[in-house]
Amino acid sequence: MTPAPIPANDAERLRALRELLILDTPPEERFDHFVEFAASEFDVPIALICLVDSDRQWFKASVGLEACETSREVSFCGHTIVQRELFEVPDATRDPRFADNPLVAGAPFIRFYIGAPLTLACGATIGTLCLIDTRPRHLDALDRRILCTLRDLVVAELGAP
Amino acid sequence: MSTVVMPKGRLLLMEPQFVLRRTVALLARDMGLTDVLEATSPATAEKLLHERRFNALLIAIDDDGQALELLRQLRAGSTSQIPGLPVAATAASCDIELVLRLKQLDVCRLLLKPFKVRGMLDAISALGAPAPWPEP
Repeated sequence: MTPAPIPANDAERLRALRELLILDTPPEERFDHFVEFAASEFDVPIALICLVDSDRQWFKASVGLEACETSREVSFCGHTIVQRELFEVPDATRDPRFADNPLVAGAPFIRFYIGAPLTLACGATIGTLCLIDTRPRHLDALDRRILCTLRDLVVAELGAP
Repeated sequence: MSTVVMPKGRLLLMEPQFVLRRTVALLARDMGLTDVLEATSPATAEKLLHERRFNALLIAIDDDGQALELLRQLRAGSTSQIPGLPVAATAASCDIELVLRLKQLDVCRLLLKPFKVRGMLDAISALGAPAPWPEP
C-alpha cells in the first residue's frame, strides 16, 4: 500500500481548513443534499464530502458509510488532494497503490474510487467530493463533468455563511 | 447523448430541487447547449415568462397543478412567449391522465424520476432547434 502523500504546503492547507470552522461540526442538510444527489446520480453505494485533516479524513457528509472518519494514511482522498484534477481508481484490487489497503481488503471493500479535489479560492485543497463503489467502474467524460460541477457547488457552499 | 447544440438560445428551467437545478444550469451553459435562467417555483417561472423571452422551457410538474396551469397560460398566449414554445417536462410519477394532459399541452418530452442530469441535458439538446425567435 502507498500511504497518502503529505503535500509540501500541508501546514497552509490545514490552516485554511481550520479557518472554515467546519471540522467535527454536526451534519448539515446543505451538504447532505450533495452526497445524496451524487449517490443517486452516479448509482454508487457511497458518496462523501471528505475533509483531510492532519492525521485523519473526516466526513462532513456521507451516504453509505457509518464511520465518520478514518486514518489519513489509508485514505484514497489523501491521494486526491495532491491532484489538480479528478483522481480515479477504476479497480483498487488491480492497483498496487491500493490492493492491500485495509479499506480494499476489508470493509467497505472499495473497488472503484473517484475523488474531485475541493480547492478553495485561496488555492488550498482541503478535501474531496468522492464516489465509491464495491465493483470496478469508470466514469465517462460527461459523468466526470457532472462530478466536477457538483464539486464546484460544494466549494461554493463551503464558502457560504 | 444528442449532439444538437443551441449556443444562442435561452432556456427557462423550473426545478425546485437546488442541486439538480444548479448542476443542470451550469452544465448546459458550460457545454454551450444554451443559456439557462432558473426558477424555483411555477410562480417565479410565470414572472419570468412575462418579463423575458425564451427559446424553450423545461419544467417540473408539481402535485398541486400550478405547473400545468402555467403551461395552459403559455399555450393560450397569456405570457410574453410564442404559444408554441418548445416545452419538456419532468415528473415524479405519471398516470394516463397526466400523459393526456401533457400531450394536450404539446409537451414534447417527459422525463420521469429517477432521471439523471444526463437525461435532462439530452432533453435540453432536443429542445434546441429551431429557435422560435428570429435573429435580429
